[in-house]
Amino acid sequence: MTTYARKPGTSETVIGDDVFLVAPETREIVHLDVMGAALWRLVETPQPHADIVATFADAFPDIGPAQLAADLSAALQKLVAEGLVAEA
Amino acid sequence: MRQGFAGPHRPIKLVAGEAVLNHVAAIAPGWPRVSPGETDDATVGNGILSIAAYAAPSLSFPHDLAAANGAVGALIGAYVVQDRSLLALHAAALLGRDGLIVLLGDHGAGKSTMAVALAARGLQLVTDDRLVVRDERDGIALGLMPKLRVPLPPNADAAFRAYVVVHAGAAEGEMHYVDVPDRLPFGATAPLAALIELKRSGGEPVLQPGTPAKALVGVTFAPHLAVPEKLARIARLAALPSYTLTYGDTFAAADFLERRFA
Repeated sequence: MTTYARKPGTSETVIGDDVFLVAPETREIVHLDVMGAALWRLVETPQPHADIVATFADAFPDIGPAQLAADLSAALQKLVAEGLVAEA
Repeated sequence: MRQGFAGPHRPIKLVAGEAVLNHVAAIAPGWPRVSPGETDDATVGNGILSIAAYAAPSLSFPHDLAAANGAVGALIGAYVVQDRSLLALHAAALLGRDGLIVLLGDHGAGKSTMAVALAARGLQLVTDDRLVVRDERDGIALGLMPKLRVPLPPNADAAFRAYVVVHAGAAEGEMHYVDVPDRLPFGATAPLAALIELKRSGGEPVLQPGTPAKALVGVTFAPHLAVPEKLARIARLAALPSYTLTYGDTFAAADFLERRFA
């Protein structure tokens, strides 16, 4: 089971409702959308993929499981690709 | 040829051919010329702009006026990186009754057209494209001419078209500068009063409280600052009174902004 965690050295700045992260390797500023921001908060403690899905399923009971899993996978892969979250 | 331009602390040196330097003189007539320093901050050769003052990719341009426009952008960048209290916003700005109204928007959002339309309505132009900001409190004018893309928007009224013709500046291809009279002169400062993010949509102009942080990240130029400091400075800018203006017609929106801020 894949586990997701914040990448060490990533810095966070909150301006109003907007969350911005700076990736430690690229030093690029990344703005998080609503799902990205929620995932970022969730993986402050490393989380197995199944726990992330379960947490979101509780929060969004109206979204079908397949849709939710697809949305979460895309959002997590985006965070990984941007160098903000590590998967292990 | 070499030309020195005044920087906040030392000269900025531009190396370019005579045609490009003449265009720079035309579009930045108020920027004081000084003896060039030792270091080549920006160089234009064979239509390619190379910038040494800060990390930037080389850029190529289709004609001398476009190269001059790029060179002025490099001058602004070189100006900003000389002083840690400065940054630049890719934004238009005009002087309203309470200070500078800063217009933010994506490329093509209509900042320049809106800026010239507001200047034609009597607001004092600071910039249509790049605003130097000190300490997230004051805008600094560089006295640059705004530029428009032709053909003008089909909804431009006769008064606007006449204004552009009467005050025509340098032009080449689609790029037409406008010699807006009474621009805030080089070095003049004014306090930032409001940030307005421009968003095109249908319908009448509507001004609502906005959250400009995301837009500011995309338009803030500060390569001399570490990224966390840049974000902290953006947070201070975002604390200014901020709005989103949605509008369908640029000129109706200019009328609206004139009533609200002039």
